[in-house]
Formats: sequence, structure tokens, C-alpha cells
Amino acid sequence: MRPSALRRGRVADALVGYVFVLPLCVLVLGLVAYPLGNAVWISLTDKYVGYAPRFVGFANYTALAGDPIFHKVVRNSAVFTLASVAVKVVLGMLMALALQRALVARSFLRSVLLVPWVIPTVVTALTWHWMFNALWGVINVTLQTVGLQREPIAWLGQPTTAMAAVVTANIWRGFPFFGVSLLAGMQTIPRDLYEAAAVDGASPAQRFWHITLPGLRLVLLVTTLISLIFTLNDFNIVYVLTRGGPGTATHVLATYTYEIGFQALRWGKAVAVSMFLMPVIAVMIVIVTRYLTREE
Amino acid sequence: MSRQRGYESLDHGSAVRVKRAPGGLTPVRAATYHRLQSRTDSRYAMPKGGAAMTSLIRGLSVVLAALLLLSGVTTPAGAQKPKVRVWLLRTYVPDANHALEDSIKRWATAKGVDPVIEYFTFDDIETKYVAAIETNALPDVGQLQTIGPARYRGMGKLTDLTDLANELVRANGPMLESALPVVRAPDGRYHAVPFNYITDMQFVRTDVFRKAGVKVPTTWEEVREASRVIKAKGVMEYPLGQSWNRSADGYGVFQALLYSHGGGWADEQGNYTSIMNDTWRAVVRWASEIYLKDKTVPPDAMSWTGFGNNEAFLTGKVAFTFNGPSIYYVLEKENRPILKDTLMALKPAGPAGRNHDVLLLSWTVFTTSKQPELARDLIRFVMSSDEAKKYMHASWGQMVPAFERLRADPYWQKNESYRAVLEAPKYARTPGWPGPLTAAAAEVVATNVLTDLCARVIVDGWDIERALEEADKRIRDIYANVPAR
Repeated sequence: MRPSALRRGRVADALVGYVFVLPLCVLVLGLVAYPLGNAVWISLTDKYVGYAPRFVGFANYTALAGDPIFHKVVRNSAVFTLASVAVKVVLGMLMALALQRALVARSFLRSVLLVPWVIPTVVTALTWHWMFNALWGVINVTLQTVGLQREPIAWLGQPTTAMAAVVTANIWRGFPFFGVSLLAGMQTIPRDLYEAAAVDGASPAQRFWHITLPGLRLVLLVTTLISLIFTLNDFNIVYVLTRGGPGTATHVLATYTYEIGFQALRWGKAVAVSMFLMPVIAVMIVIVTRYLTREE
Repeated sequence: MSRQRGYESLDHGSAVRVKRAPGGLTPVRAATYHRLQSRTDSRYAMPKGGAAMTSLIRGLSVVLAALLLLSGVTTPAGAQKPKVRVWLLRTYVPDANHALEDSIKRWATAKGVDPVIEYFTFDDIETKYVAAIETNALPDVGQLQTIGPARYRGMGKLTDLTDLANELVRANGPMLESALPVVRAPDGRYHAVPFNYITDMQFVRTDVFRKAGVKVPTTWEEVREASRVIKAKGVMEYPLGQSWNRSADGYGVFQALLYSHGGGWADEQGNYTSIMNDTWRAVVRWASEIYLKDKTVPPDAMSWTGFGNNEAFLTGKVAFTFNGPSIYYVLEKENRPILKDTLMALKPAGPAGRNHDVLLLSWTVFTTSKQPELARDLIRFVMSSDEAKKYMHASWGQMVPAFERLRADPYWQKNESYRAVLEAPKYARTPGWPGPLTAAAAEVVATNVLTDLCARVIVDGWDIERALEEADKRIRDIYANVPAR
């Protein structure tokens, strides 16, 4: 074939390639780049619902920096996210280890343990709301019936217990994600390593520490990152359980954004609240991506 | 491959016809040529199943075209009914919701219109309207809650309904005084017409009160005293079901408490005034001490949703609470045992008299409506005397009319509770009292300034002064920044 025909062929190939990539580009531009750019713009305006936006620079961010409620919201978000993810990692690991061992009815157990993840979040939150009710919730009724508690505990009525309640609901909902992911990761660890270690006299704890954990390093990293992002953005559980209350005790960034945007009608400020997370998440993603790339 | 003169083509349908390698090529070049040839062939060769895929795509296209055609054929453009989108509040009384929906459908049948009815709840009314405003997806007709007209008319989203309001007044009699600040702008124009009040009442378990030897409270101080006595005598641990939560049960009752003490955050002209005064201190003290000192409120009441106090009263956990008639609806409809011992009473009075808060639903036509005349006609129909009576009688006391002639219906003389429900709106005060209901006053309520004030003291342990300072700053900020006043 002549070189010119070859060149034409290559150009045609490239064009076809661009055609196949075009829908993805449109999707990324339309669903990611444009909304992100628009959000950044709105956060730099005094956009009020029903009125045109006016550019105000960083006024929204400055206002947030001096807003004590926003400081509280950031602290709440950090506590909610870190506490939830830490416990989910541990519980997920325990779930994976338990399912990894040869057990009777392993498939059934695996299905049962996935139920919290499958149930719609709103249903989960409503159920926990009922359970935490001070007067007739099953937790208080049980505690009082067995004599462990005389006065009902206002689980959702006090700041500390309310935060513990939303964290608990979030953990219950999210730990199967870790369990399933880590279980899948465990399947890729060669059995020979465990056998060799056993022959060398390593205890179960040593095998876990020196074989399982290093083998799950990448899986743990990715699942933890994903869980951190999703938990930081969680709205349903907090909104349904406490609406951010009592007071502002469980207000997180997502619920605060909603309150400012849909109740106070101040979209510029609301978007600025949600944009606050962007650098944090971006840094996390960069760190993890670099680590993964280095590993490869 | 078959070979034709000077060309090689591929039997299996390749679109490429390439020249045969000329004779005289060296074996290496020939090999290269054939290698390139086979790569080209494979690249342009029809993939396996390609013919089947093409057929499938053709078939799907035909089916899709047929469906599109049929949808046009079965409903030709000329025969399509005009659509009218209506947004309604889904109250806690399903019978009332259905009755209103039936009324709308009767109108639609008579007019040959296709009504599209969508619901919002107490919790998401603002969310839905905000989203619709920003996406230009407002309905033709919508119900607004108390603060709605004040918030949205400044945005230019509400049609001038002054003529319709005057028409309804001619048909149904004058409106109650308390409805005017809600639906009528300071310039005298109406951007909404009143539908009905959902009156917030004092629900009392008369048997519990009898047992404790206390009378039904008529003042806020009597409310506190009655709670203390009921608790002290061991009749009920937490008699008072009052939450300062982010719902009308919270900010509505707080306003009733505040206005009946003569307090407010705006003057008669609607300008912001400081709340750092003794009236506000007394009100916040009352609101917090029922939790912190008297401990007569269930410990988790601050986390209740809008239905929390309903549940507490219906299950006998509290002896009195403040709520709309939906509690009475459940008791009546299900004929529950505590019905005979439940009284709906007017809210207590304070040093400045009895001042109820108001939840007034109104109708509006949005400026984006493509069917404005039909929308007005719908409101006219639903607010006609015959229709109003139908859903009023099905509302179990929830739909209290705002027009005098409708209020004269004997339905409301059923018993002492119903009479109180009818009377309560006369004492209603709108947000921003004693000033007009402005967008800024509406935002003070919508942004939970009042309930957060109580939460700071009760939940966060702040002293009253510090909590008032924060609330004062928030109110001042709202009045300085809200676009329309």
C-alpha cells in the first residue's frame, strides 16, 4: 500500500477514534466542567433566588470565615466523617475476615451483611430515628426494661448523643461497602503466602499484619478515599435524623448548604459553603492517585 | 481472497479495494505489503455479527418511529386538552387533600382541561418553589404558605390578582383582617388570594388536667404552672409537648408567645428594631426554662420533626401541645378513646393579649403560566361557595375559611373545639408584627432565627444575652441584605 494511503488510513482511524470519544467529552463538559464552572461563578456572586447574580468577589468566603455557625459546621463535618469512616474501616475489615474463613452458609451471611447497604438511606434514617426516640424508641425501652437506665436518654436531643446517633446510622449503612471491597481484595492475595507463613510459625495476628494488610493496602486506600468523599457529602442521614439539630449540633456542610440555599434563598453563599470542600477533596484525590501510580 | 485484475478485494465484504502488489516486489516488500494488507483488511473487515447489529438498529429505529407516529396520531394536536399544573400542600388530613383534588377535577371536567396535580409537604414547600423558580418550572397555580406571597412577589413571579380578590370578596364576604397582610402588598395590590387557615390550637387532655386538679390554661404562665403541677403530682412525667424545632410547631408557637408579650423584631413601618430588650428576655426565659428548670418537656423534644408532637400527644406521652387540627382529625376519624378527653382550645394570652401565629394558605397564579385565564378560573371555581363547603366539610376542622360568609357555615358549631378553631384566626398576627409581612420578615422565620435562638440556650448552654445578641445580628443582617422589602 502506498504511504499516502497509509496516512489517509491513519487519519481516518484517528477521526473515528475522536467520534467514539466525543460523547464522553460532551458528558464530561456538560455534566462536570460546566456545572463546576457555574458553581465557582455563583459562589463569587450575591445570587439570591429569583434575582440575577451580581459579582462580589470573595465576599461570601470572607463572610463564612467569620461565621461562627460555619465554623461549627466544619467541625461537625470533620467529626462526623472521620469517626464514621474509621469505624467503618474496622467493621468492614472484620466483616471481610469473617466471610473469608470457610463458614457454613457463607453466601447467606454475605447477603445478610449487605442488607444495610442495599436499603434506601431514607428508610435507614427513619428507622434509626424511631429507634432513638426518647420516649418509645426500642433502645431506651430496652435499657429501661433491663434496668440499665432509669431516665430516658434524649439521644437526638443532646449535642453529643445526637452526633453519636448520626455517626452510628452512617456506620451501619456504610460498613458493608468496606466489607465487600476488602473481601474481594483478599481473594487476590496468594494462598501460598499464608501457607508459607504458617509453616514458619507465624500467628494469625502476624499473618494479618504482615500479609493481609499489605496485600489490601491499595484496596483500603481507594475505598477509604471514596468513603471519605461520600461521607463528607452525606445529607440524607443527618437531615432525616436530626435536620442538623438539636440547634446546630449535627449540622454538616451538606445540610448547611441546603439551609442557606433553599430556606434563606442565598445561593451565592450556599454554593460557597459547598465549594469549601473542593480543595480538601482535590488534595486527597491527588495524594491517593500519586500513591497508586507510584505503586504501579 | 478473490483476485481481480489489478485489485484484490475481500469476499467478506470489505469496503477497501487495494491494488495488488505489483509484480517484481522483493519477497520482503511483498511480505510487508501483505502484512499491511491484512491489517487493513482486518481493520475494515465487517466484524462478526455486524450484519445482525445493523438489522437490530434498523428494527429499533422502525419501532421508535412507529411509536412516535402513533403518539401523534392518537392525540392529534387539535384534540389535545390544555394542561393546567397545580401545586397543592399535602396536609396531614388525607380526606381534605382528596376533597380538594376532587374539586379541581370537577372543574377540569367541566372545562375540558387536563389538570396536573403535584404535591409538596410542609417540609419541602420552599425547596420545591425555589427549585422551580431557578429552573423556570413554576406551575400555573400554586398554594403558598404564609410567607410565600411576601417572598415571591418581589421577584416578579406572582400575577396581580386584585380583580380576582375583589370578585371573591363580593361572592364570599370580606376577608378576615389577619389575612390581609399575607395576601395584600403594601401598595394595596393582591398577589394571592386566601384559601384557608390551618389554625394552630392548644390541645389539652382534660382528664389529665382533672386528675392533677388544674384548669385549662388561658395564659402562658398558666401553661407553665399547669405543667409543673401535673409533673409534681406524678400524673405525667413530661406533660408539655413543645419543641422549638425547625417547623411551624416551633417558630409558629414562638411567635405566638412573642407577640402575646408585645414583642417583635420590626416596627410598624416594617423596619428592623433591636431585640435586646426585656420583652425578648422574658420570652426566651419562658421558652428555655420549661426545658432547663421545669423539665416538663420530653428530653428529646428539640429533635422532633413536625410530626413529633402529634405522635407524643396521640400516644398519650404528653398532656398538652400546640398543633393544627390534624391531631383532632386522627382522634375523630379513628374514634380513639382519648377523643372524649381532648379539647382544642385557643392559644394562651400574654401581657399584650392573645396573639395566635397564623398559617394561611393562599392561591396564586404565576407569571410564567401559559394558561393564566384558566388558572384564575380554577381558583374562582374552587373558592366558590358550593365548592368551598364541600372540601371544608371533608376537612375535619382543618380548612378554616378566611371569608366571612364561608365562616358562617354551621359546620363550625359542631362542638366547643370546632368553635375555637373558627375563632382563632381572629387573633392571628403575621411574621414581622406589628409591621407588615415583608420579604425580610419572611426570611427571619424561614431561616430559623427564632428557633435557633432557643436552641442556643437549651442545647448549647448559652446564656440568654449571648443568644439574643447572635439572633439580633442575624436579623439585622437579613434586613440589610434581602433584596425586596
